[in-house]
Amino acid sequence: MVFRPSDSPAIKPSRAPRTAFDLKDGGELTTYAPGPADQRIGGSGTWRQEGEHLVLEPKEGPTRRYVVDDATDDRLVLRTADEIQHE
Amino acid sequence: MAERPRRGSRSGGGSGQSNGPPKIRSCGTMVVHERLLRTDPRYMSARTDSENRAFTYAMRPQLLARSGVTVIPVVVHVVFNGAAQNISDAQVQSQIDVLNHDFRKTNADLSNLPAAFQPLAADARIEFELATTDPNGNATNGIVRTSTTASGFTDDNKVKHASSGGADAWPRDKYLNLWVCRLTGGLLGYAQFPGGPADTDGVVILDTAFGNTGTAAGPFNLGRTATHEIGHWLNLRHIWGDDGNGCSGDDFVSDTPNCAGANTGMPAFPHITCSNGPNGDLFQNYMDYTDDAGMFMFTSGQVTRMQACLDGDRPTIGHPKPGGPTGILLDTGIAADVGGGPTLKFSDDKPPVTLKFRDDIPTSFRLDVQQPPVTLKFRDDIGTLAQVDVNPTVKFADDGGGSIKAIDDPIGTIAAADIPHLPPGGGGDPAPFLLSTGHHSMAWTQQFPEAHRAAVAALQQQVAQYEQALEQAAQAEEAGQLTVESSGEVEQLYAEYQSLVAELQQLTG
Repeated sequence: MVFRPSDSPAIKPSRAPRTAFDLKDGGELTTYAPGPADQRIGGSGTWRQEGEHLVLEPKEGPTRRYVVDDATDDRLVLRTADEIQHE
Repeated sequence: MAERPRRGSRSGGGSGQSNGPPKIRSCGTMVVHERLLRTDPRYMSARTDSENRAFTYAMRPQLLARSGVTVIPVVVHVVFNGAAQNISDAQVQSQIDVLNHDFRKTNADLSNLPAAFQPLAADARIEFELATTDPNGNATNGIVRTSTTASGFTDDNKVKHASSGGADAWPRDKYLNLWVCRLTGGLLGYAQFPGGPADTDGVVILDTAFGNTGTAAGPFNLGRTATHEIGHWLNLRHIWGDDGNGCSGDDFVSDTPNCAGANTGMPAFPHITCSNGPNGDLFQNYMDYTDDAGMFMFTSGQVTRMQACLDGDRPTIGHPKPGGPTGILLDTGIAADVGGGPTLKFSDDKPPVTLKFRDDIPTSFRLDVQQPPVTLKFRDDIGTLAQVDVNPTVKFADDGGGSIKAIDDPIGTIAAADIPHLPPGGGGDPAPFLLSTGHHSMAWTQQFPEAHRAAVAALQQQVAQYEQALEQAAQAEEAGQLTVESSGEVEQLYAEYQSLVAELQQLTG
């Protein structure tokens, strides 16, 4: 999965709101999921880095673990645990 | 080896280059939505009331108060940063025009609807007009232009407040607020269901997805983003039920086929999911996620839900369209849904036909049912005997040539058991059977106090709306702005008003 800053021109308009998240200093996490009226709904949690893995722990929902393939100012490339297992 | 993201705060959105949607999407949505319902009692209460009303009206559309066309005043807040975002009046008007086609089922591309789905398409009986009077009573063209220093907005409602670089809402009891601005993160638009805060009530649309001319850019250049979002504003849900890709979500509308996830782009017909073959998903519906060119219809069930929203959640907004069709309620009337038993449904009759029954005096109306053979006798104040074709047509001898078609759904035959409140052999009791005028059903007045109260309230609301419209007409006449043609419409309006008042007096004694 490729994530980009929300103001990136590379993100084209889409009818379906995109899943998104904020990674803030101190391990604070805010997640955004598509809502039923197309306004994203935020959730909170924590994040941390474990070796090559980015671990997201939302307060509601399961912990998610990703491999970070690339991270620059305008691009964050992640693979999910499922994708990791299938390699 | 990957490195820790360098910036202190990274806000990102998926760019669509994933091989598949994250599994968290659906679960996260529902979990958070449910949390909002749990933690915000006012919102939960409003939503509960709204859903209960929508359910009630879905069962008994004859309770709907607005039988004709409602015209809703619109204010368009153009919040721009640079000339390119300051869209033209023509582009704004093009959006209004699109809405008026889409919500009246006059959009040309409706012809693209597969034949199997054509019976589902319905006229929402809602029109839109740019406001001509602002909240202070001053003349306006309905377009408010606000220059902002914000490079863009997201879905955090900041565009809805002047204090955060946007524009304040006009009162939601009189106006539909549409904000047009540059949205970031790939957002096309978002809405707020009825029952939320007043200062954020309305719809936000990306400037390049507004209308069908000027800066509107494909594939969202036909104005359907606003149609979709206003559907939410009128309490419509996505047709897949917002459960991700499952088959257990519900949009609370019975005539949209159950389906899995959202359809995007331009799907090929049929797209079968959730065992909904042979016709599959109703992805041609405005409440799916296809491109603008792929969506072109609302269903009857969605129309009832939107009208229920107007009655209950937004009772003061809009005004009746003079000269618009009336009597449409009967077209979807459901009769004899009493006692939890089977229902007898009446199919649509072509508007503008209005069916009025001279026998709608409850105390003089009785229904006898004998079987076999099935025979319906109507002993009304005219004393006529109805001719009965069991399926599918029931004809009333005294209805001036009109007819009501009975759908064999689901009972097969019209049976005495459907009318449990009638004593065997008749008597003088009022029959629990639909006796409708174009405005309300009187049948429930004596045996169903709640329905009676609802009918009275609905009628009072209609009377108030007519009085408001007539007052506006009087003001226009005083100002010398009433044309000969308009005078005729006003006369018709006044006649309908008198009829409503008479019915209200009859109902309230």
